[in-house]
Amino acid sequence: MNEEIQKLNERIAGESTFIDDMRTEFAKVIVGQNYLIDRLIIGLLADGHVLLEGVPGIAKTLSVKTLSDIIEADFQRIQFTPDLLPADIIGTLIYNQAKGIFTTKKGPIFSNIILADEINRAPAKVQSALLEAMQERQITIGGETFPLPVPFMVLATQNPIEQQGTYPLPEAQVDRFLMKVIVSYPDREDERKIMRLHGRIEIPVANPVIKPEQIMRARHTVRDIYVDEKIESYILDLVFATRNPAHYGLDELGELIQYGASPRATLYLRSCAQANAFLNHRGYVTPEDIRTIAMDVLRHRVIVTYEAEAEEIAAEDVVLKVLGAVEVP
Amino acid sequence: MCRHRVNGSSRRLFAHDLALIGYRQEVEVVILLIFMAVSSLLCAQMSPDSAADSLVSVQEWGNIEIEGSLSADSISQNDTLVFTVKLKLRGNPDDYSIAEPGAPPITNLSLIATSQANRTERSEGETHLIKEYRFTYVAISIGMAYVNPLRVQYVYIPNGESRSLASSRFEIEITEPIIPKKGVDWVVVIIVLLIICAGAILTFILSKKGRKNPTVEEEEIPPEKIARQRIINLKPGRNADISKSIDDTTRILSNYIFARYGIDAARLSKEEIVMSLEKHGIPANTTKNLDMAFAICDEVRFANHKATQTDRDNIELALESLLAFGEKTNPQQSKQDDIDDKS
Repeated sequence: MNEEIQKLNERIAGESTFIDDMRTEFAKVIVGQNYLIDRLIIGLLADGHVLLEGVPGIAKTLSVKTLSDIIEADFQRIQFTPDLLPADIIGTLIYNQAKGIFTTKKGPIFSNIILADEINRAPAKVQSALLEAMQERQITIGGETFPLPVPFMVLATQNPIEQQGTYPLPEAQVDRFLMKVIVSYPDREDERKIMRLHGRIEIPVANPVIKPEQIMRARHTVRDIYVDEKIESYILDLVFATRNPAHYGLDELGELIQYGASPRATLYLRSCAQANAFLNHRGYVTPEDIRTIAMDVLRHRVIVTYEAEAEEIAAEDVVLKVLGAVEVP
Repeated sequence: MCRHRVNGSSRRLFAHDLALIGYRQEVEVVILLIFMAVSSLLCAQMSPDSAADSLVSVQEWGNIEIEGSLSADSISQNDTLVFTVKLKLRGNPDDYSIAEPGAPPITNLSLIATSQANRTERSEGETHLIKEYRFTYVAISIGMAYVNPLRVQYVYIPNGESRSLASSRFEIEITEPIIPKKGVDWVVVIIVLLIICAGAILTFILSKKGRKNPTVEEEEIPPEKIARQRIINLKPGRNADISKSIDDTTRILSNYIFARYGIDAARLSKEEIVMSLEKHGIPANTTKNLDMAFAICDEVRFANHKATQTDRDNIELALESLLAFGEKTNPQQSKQDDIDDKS
């Protein structure tokens, strides 16, 4: 193996041991949901935010809470409601009568991990306040700018079954999420284990096994993971196939895709694939890493046409076709 | 893991009469194409153009808007007409209590279906609820038909105010049904029938000819034999570029796995391939070797790994053990191999 990659492999082998510890701690509290747990760790390592979509009661909030317990980080849960205001999230200035000055009261966003529960229940101005903070990683209150803590990660949830009285996230806002993860029900055996585990008087709790500083170090290592030119071309092919499907022998998708994936998709496919390689204690990216995370990175970035919706063709179907058609290096 | 596109044509090789089979397929395709072209010509002549929404009216009051539209301004007898009414509510939709409107009766038209759908739409930063009512009619007699305004009653709950909005009145002409032009269409129909008959006769002759000759039966060459032949073809010049040799050997391995077990090794992960092979009863030591072989190939292709002779030997060993297992579990084909080898 190339010497540099050999060294990187050894470095990763040493630095990625905490991944197994994290999985062990997750398993104490969460039964199954390995897919979700892996995506949360990838989001953490790739320095991105994750949108979780799933019906209520499938351990979305518990997973996020457990993640914050495991990494010894501050955690805040914000329940989005129609009457929520931007100041309720980012903070505001309060007049101090005794001193005769305005003092800053920071909002719950000043935490390492934020769970924005049911993000589509709040109006657009509140969503925008959060999503701007996600992008800029700083907040301005009354002319003074405050950086957000590091690491900073937003995990937002959406409920797919209730649409009345909701404010769907605009496409431009959704694009800011690194991944959109669909959380599904556990299988029968897992559900039996859940029943037994959470039926006890003592509620299981995860122990902290990693500090935020270790996460920051791991992020640097993740960015060093080798991405071959063939892999880069594969990423570009996947993204461009969503924009010009006819060039990739996917003529039938032309009428189904309104907008293809943005350049953010290219960047995030690369960083998520690097994080996935790190999860597998590997110092280089393979097409397998790309294919593992491609659906979660692309599904919310491919906008299907009205005709596709009428034929009940979802963005997931389009992404699957693209993955099936683009040649794997 | 290494991935290569599996060449579909390499999966099966037919020993005899490939040329004859190919010829038959070509003739069938040509017949089908001619038939499709003629049919589409016939259809184009027979079916009139269907117009898109041709009549639209919009009435608005405050935060509520009603839009009526017809799918055409003129239809033929027995054709269908869709009358669509859209209610667009701005602001909070819960502020409105709307009485569901009934289908308006229209002379010369008979109601055959109704449907209602709700959807939300965002524009200019606002969310709108759109309630869409669709009434489908069929034209039963020739003449003018008048679509009377559809009145929608609603109550604005915050102040209890009751109002109604109505769509505009439309009129539509129902014409005689379009009958295909006799002269031209009969000729086309006869041509189509003749082509079908000619195709059937040709297919019958070809199939009869095929039956007479017993050698037309397809003989499938075992994938193990194809793989071994490809390995032999690789041997000259394999030491010149070991990395390329490894790449080619893994390609043979992926193609073989696809041909023998139907597992698309070019697209699956190492773990998925190994799990799938285990389901086919492949021994653990073989799958372990395969896992290692794919890992080496990944390093060569995606981590600039300078391949060695040992790496290549390991990959060839993995392939050999898989081929041996394939031959062992498919004795009929192995027997055929022996016969072929002896001959």
